[in-house]
Amino acid sequence: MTIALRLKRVFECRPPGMLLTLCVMTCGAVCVPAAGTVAEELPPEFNDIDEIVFAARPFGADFHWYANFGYYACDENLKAYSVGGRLCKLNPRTGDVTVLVDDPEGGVRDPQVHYDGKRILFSYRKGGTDPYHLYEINTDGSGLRQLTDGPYDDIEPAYLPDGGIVFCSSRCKRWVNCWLTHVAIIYRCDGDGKDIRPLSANIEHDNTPWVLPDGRILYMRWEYVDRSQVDYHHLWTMNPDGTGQMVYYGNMHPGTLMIDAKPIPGTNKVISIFSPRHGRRSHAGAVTIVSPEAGPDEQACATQLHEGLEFRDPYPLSEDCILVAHRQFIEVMNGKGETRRIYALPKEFGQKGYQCHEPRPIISRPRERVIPARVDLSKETGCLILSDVTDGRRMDGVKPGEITELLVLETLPMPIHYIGGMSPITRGGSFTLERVVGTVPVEPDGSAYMELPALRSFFFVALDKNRNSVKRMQSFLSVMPGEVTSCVGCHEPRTKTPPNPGRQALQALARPPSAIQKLEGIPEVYDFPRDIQPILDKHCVPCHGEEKRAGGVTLSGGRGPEFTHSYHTLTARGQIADGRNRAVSNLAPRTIGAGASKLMKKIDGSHHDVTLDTHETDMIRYWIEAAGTYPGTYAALGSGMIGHHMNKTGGLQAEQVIVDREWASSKAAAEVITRRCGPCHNEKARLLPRYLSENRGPGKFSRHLVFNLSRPEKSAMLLAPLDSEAGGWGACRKLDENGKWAGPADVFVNTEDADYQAILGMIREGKTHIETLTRFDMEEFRPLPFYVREMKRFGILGERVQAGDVIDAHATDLAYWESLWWKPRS
Amino acid sequence: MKSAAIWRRRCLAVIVVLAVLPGIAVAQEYLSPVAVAVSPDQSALYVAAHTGHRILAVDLGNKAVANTFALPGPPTGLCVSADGAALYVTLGTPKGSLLVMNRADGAVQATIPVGHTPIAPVASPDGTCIYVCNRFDNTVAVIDTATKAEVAKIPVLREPFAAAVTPDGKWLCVANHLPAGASDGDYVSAQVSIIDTAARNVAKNVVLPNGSTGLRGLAVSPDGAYAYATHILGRYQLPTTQLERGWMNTNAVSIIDIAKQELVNTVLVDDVDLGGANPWGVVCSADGAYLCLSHAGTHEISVIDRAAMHDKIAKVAAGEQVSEVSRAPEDVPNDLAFLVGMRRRLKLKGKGPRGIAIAGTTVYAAEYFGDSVGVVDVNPEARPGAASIALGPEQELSAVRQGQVFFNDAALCFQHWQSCASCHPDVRADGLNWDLLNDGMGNPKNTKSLFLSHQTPPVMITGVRDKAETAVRSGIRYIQFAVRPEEDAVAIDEFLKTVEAVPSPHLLEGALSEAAKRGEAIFNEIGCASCHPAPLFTDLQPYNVGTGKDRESEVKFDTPTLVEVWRTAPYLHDGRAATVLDMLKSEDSGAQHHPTGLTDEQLADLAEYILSL
Repeated sequence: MTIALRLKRVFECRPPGMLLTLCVMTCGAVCVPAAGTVAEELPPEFNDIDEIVFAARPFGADFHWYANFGYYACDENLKAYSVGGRLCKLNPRTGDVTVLVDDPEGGVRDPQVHYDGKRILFSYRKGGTDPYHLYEINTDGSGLRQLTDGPYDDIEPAYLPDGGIVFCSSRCKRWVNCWLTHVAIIYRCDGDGKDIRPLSANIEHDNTPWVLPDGRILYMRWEYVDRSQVDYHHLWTMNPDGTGQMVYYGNMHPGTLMIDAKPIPGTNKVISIFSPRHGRRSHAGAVTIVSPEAGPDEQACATQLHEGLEFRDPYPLSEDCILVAHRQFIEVMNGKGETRRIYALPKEFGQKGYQCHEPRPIISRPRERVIPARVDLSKETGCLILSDVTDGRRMDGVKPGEITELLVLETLPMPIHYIGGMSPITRGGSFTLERVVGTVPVEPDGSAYMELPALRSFFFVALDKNRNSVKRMQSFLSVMPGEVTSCVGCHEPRTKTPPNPGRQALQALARPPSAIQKLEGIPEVYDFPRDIQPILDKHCVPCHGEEKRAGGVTLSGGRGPEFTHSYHTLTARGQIADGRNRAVSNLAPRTIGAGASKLMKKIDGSHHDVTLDTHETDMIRYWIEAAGTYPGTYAALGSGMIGHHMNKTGGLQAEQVIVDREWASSKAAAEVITRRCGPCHNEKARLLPRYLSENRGPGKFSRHLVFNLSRPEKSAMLLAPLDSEAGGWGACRKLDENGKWAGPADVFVNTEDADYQAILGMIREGKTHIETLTRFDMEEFRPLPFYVREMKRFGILGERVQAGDVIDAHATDLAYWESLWWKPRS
Repeated sequence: MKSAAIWRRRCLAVIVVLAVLPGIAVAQEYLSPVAVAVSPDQSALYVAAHTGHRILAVDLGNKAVANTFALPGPPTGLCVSADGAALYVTLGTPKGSLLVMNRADGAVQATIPVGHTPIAPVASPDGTCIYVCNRFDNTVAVIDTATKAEVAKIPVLREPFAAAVTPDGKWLCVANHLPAGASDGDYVSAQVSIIDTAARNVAKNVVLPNGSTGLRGLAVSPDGAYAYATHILGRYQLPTTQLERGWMNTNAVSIIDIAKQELVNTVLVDDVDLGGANPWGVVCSADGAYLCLSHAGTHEISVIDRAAMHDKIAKVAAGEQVSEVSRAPEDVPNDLAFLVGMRRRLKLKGKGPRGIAIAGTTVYAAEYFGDSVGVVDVNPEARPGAASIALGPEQELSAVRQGQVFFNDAALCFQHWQSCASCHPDVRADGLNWDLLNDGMGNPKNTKSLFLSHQTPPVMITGVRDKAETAVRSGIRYIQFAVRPEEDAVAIDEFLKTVEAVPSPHLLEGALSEAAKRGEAIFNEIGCASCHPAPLFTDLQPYNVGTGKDRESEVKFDTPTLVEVWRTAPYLHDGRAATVLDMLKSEDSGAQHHPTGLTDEQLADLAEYILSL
């Protein structure tokens, strides 16, 4: 709009003093003032605004901010989306509402107005169909046209100044690593929906991309590489071709979902919803102004405007005038967080649970800057230059030249997931399998120059000359095809500009970029029973087997209800220093990874006469670096276990199937354990699991240690109370009147004891049960039907494969991951 | 001889409209204010209109031009005499002069000859002398105000561009515009010369942080304790892969303790995602509260809370971590958030602010491309924002002028980190080596002057761009990370094509010296002219001249023009030779550039000729 026209509008059409007309009924809409307020003039920011577009739809049932499209893992008929949607426009002065799209069985979300103010881009799920797709409609309600299609969901679109569209899509074929719904990450397409390609390699959600005036895309990136899964969802930026991915705000401060961020006109600030902790349903939270100038890590630069956490979808007209959705209302918030209601949904929609969403003014607006593309889509790789690996926060004591290599790891997308936890991928650590990609050299000046496959989620571990881990990255980076980009060091403050290194050029630039050197003989994706247990069997089990149990430690590969004894022991006894599921990161040098792991000390020659060869040592080393995971396939999730097995549909949160407690053998064993063991095992520190599925008691008495489903007679639950004369450990002691331990308890004199047999019966049934289910480390492994369903949907398994078939899950996972790799375009 | 003749003709043609600062001839209808000075009673502002060849007196009461004093050439700087009676104006021509003008009516009372392209006149506090920077003579002239004659000429380092004197008159601080010396070492920076005014010599050259170049402004605090120099801080030792977070050029103020004659520290005047390109003029408010500087590339005034800044610098010097980045003093020049909370960026109405002055809390800025003076109250409570005082009628911008605007305007650039002029000040070169991606990485090369680039294709040292037009567009895309309409690039082309040479300071009255004439004979005799033939002094061909190292040992480099080579030091593709004579004498220059069998005297003559081109 020209200035002249704007002035004309202001002075002719909207004379100052014109009051907001209230209580006009149109299309069943009611415009109401906030209780107790009087009719007021709209702020001057509304002078050019004749209409506001918004979506109306009910909240979905799921409390997660992201779980609002697609279906649930264990039941494709159980949908995460809500039903019923309208796209409306509101005249903020008269309260008149025009309905542009009304679909009682469909879904409408995320409208954005084009730069020309004449059309609206939004995400629409047509009634009777499942996926959300991108649509455009003229602001007068004409010309509804579908831009994208296919079996995946496309949501949260925004126009790009180069004529394209950025959006989030589940085309990425991956699932939340700690929930039972699909993931959507950032894609772009042309303005007509053609030429769709990914801009992100995130394995978790990206959300609400929006263009900054300088041309970058501001968005929410959720990630958790070896750290808490519920704390790191902050603001990031990327260029409209996916290059230059960089944190914008918050990544060092866990515990807030920062989402729906948009630039505030005329400032360098952005407005965002800060939704506390792991975020609230439908992104609800506090409207917060973020100033970027002090950098991403300065908490004082975020100003929450108000109390309360029920606001959504802020659209700033200025720092002092923000359109915002609030329950069933559209409100205007000022810079002090005071709101005025300008619209309320009609009662009948309120009663159906409809809420107001995404109010945005229908006005023309300037295009943001266009950043020229830095990608070359014909390339498979991009290049990364690191100027000085020792330059960073918490690099205390790391000396120049100390780092000689970077270990390149990849955090791997997940094709299905069933629960909120990480089991059985790890025991309280990573949710995610990590690929050992290889190493790249670091020069004496700390520089590195490497070629990385495009659009994959990599992270690095800095290694010293002994290949011990010095510093671990707990985030990920990806390069785009053909991108050449640089970074300063490891975790340097983001307000730091690169210092001149004091020499003409980085040493790493004296030669072509290093391809990642594969590690000879090291598996790309570790499988603990396959890759680590044989080494333990050879070197550790002679002393730490089920019989000898030196130091009370068992490292046998006996299967517990979920983990092997050995896996449980190593993790429960803190033998590996992996990233736990905690809201801490950027750990001090040499406090995480193999170099900091007690297990490496046990195998360095100082532990009795244990001597591993170099390859065996490296096998252990890189297993720890790759997060010390248990299975080597995601098909292991929820499968072949007692306690975490999924085999039935239904329920929003797929319930863990706990079938064992219904068995007669279990009931009998539980009775015995209660009766015979309970009198002594009566305190928290000594509680025993009564069932194979019961998580009770500390690590020493964990169900994974006391039940041996490989060789039931070798279960600690049986051997400990069994007299040593009868082949047991005779380990149980009596408690005297004073509560002191006194003499052997002689619980089971021999194996003929009916109570002994009762417990054995349960364990034997458990063995039979998991052999029927099959576990990932069994030859005849049959993955769950949900895994098979998704792998067929992703085109990895053929149509003829049936649930219940024996499938090489490791190979299937590898093929799945490879299918997600960037395919160069000619 | 033919070449010299051509050259002399060119000089004559140029001299009339010579735009001294950048050596750029632009249409005379533009005023192009470069410097401002406030009268002692703060009632009037004097504006040096560079291409307008005049001084404009602005009545600060009604904020309008009250008087115009025509000049015989382009003014580059001005100051008011200590008693307020006179205006001292430098006329920036090769045969430069200092005008003494009656402040009331503009009558020229004296025309004092000084050096090549004088700039930045500074009156001593006691009124006894005027200091003038002779930019292309690399000297500072001392003029006795009583005798109106030069009494001393003090050599400084390279292109003295700005100066300020302490209130006690003891120290004159001079900003050397560019680094001097070879550029292939580990540390390259421009320096600030501190002159002992009594001894009339340089007491100390203060070295700025590695990568400092493009010094444009210098101010001294009211108490005389500190000098502040504005400059670019290039991250030239890293490949130019991106701009985010100041990956190429950052923009800075260096703070010098005058008594100790040492650098206190250097602070960046960019923000983490918004550059503040090309800082130029700098002033302190009289009460010392504010340090204000202009950003010629982003059309802003930065207002720094001086006490807060010094306090933070002192704390970090005392070992306190004052920000996430600044744990130690050496971190400060890399801290994009150091000034957060103590610096405000005020947008100006007009483009291209250069010299600035302050009266009370009002800053006046010479808006070079706005033909206006920007006025902004730096008081944090002040409302409204900046205003502009038009110095003449509003004019359409010619394509050439528009091109010049674009060349200097960092608004073209992603996040406003730099403009073309950041690496190519006045279209020439910043004296640094840069590692551009167009010829691979790890092989930095000395910035080339863009003078004659459109006339001497191909361009870039490796000749990787077939012509300058291509390079202009590549620069927009790969250096500024911007998408611009074709007409913007065309305008930049048009501007660059019009750039005129600045006559060499080695010429005598526009002609070759005797030594240069002898050198010319040698030049032709030993074959220099075969690759560097007149009139462009390049045959436009690439050669392997044996200077490429390692991966580049077989790489051919495009033959550069030698016109204006006197101002494009250092030499050879990686700037390994600080001077032409160094180049001729060093075996490291390759056979073609290290002629054997010549006496030292002959080599000196040859160098003198080359430097006269």
